Amino acid sequence: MNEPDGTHERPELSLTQVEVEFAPLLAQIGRIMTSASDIDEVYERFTEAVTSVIPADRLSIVVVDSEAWQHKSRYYAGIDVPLATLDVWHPLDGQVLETVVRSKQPQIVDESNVASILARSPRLKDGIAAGLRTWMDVPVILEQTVVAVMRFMSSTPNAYDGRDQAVAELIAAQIAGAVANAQSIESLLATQVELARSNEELEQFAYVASHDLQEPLRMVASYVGLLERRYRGRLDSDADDFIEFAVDGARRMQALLNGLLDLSRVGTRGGELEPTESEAALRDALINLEQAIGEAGAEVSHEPLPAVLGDRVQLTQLFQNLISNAVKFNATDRPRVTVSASRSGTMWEFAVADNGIGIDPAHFDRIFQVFQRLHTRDTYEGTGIGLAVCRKIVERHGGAIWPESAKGQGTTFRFTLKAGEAAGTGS
Amino acid sequence: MAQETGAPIEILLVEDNPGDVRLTQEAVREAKIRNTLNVVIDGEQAIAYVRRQGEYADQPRPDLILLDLNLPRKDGREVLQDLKSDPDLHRIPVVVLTSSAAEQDILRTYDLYANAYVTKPVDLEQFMHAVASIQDFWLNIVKLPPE
Repeated sequence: MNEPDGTHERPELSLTQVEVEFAPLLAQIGRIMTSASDIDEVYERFTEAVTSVIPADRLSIVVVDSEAWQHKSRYYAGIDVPLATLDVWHPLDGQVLETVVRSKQPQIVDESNVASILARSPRLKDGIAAGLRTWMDVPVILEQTVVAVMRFMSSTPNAYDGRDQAVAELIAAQIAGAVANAQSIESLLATQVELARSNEELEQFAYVASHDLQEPLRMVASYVGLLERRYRGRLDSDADDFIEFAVDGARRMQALLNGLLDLSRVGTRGGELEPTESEAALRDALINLEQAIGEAGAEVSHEPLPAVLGDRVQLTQLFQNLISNAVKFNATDRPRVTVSASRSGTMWEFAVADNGIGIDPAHFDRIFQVFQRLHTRDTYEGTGIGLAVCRKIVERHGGAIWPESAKGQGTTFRFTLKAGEAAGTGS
Repeated sequence: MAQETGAPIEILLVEDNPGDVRLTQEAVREAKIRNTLNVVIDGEQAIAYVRRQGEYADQPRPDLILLDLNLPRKDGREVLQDLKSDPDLHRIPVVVLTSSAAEQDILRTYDLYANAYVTKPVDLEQFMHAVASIQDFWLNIVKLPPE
């Protein structure tokens, strides 16, 4: 590395002397790096502490991804360098810090070597144009990998010497863990943001698709319906069959589109979660299901149900889908469904139990997937969307849903919802 | 009312989708109420029709307007605004008949003094029933102001 060049008056110190001298600074930096505040603020306070001992006109923290062989400037303070970008990944090849990442050793660029380095890394001239004369790159190493580079820049020629470098290396060792943590948290957050965005886009797509497909389908359904109404029995029996298939297909497609629309609306059109009487939502569901329950001769009973934190419309849909399934997938003359709830910590655990045909535990995962059906249409009608909607509603409410069943033993769907009483008042 | 004089009821349907026009015509026919269903396919034609401008100079004044919301050139909301801010026309009952069930459409059209808002039922039987009910209500049951 660079020899001290005599323009500095400070004496050379041994590493241990440096360590002793800067122990308070290192302790301070340790506290800053582990403080819980936001990472930009952490870097800001870090810069303040560091530049008090290693003067710099510009300091940047460059994050390195050695696997993808790229780097991005994550933070900088001090004078502006035109064209320097923040938070944009660039390849390491040909950059000044490529040497630093490869060798895992600090590097000082000053009058002694700037010409040769400039020949290899032309982008250095942006810094020169901004008035910089000395660069000191210090790798931040964690588990033998360079996770970042601290770059000190000065407009003074030959500003840094071996002592500055030694101090900077101590600082780098001190912050390695925190920088790596911050980076993995940031990339996790970025992944989550991206995932949420793509989910939202998918929901939006499903909404628009199912909504816009309704219009032409309404035409198809209406006109085959009109054909059926006016011409049934007036053509031949083939024609009657064909019309019937067309009417049935259009009707099923309408049910599918409505289901998809419901599914996409859970995320995009949901209301606020607020204290809601789950018993009122159940009552709404039972009113909507009056006909189906009556036709099946089913008996639906429930225990007193609690207030939960929820969206009333969605809770109604949740009960409605579960009870409708319980009544539908039932071979007895008298389907029985009971709804109950028990307290479990801050949550209520609901149970919708039936005496129906049961579900083979091998299918427990499949039943929650969109369009998955376990029966032919002749046996049990349905779109295969109901339980997917249920799961989405429960998950949006911060709960979980799962079935308990064995073939022929009836099914109990359990789900959890947050308790909804106002704080301190009880329920 | 026109009915008392024995003349057929005049309905103006403002609808750009030919499939919906025909479907409404069929529903009106099945409802067997003596009426004439006139059709225009955009908002500008609708306004010209009710003001009896140009080619519509000899057309009768409608007793009821069935108005779609999403129309080319001048959309249903603008038509509604024009009708309801015109003292010569604002008493003609306007029933918004649209595929939209969106809350903001419902609110907006009532704010513009629509007389009723009906979402086109997806099911054929229900659609037929809805059209028959609209006619029955506005042309038989309701007492409208004399012209």
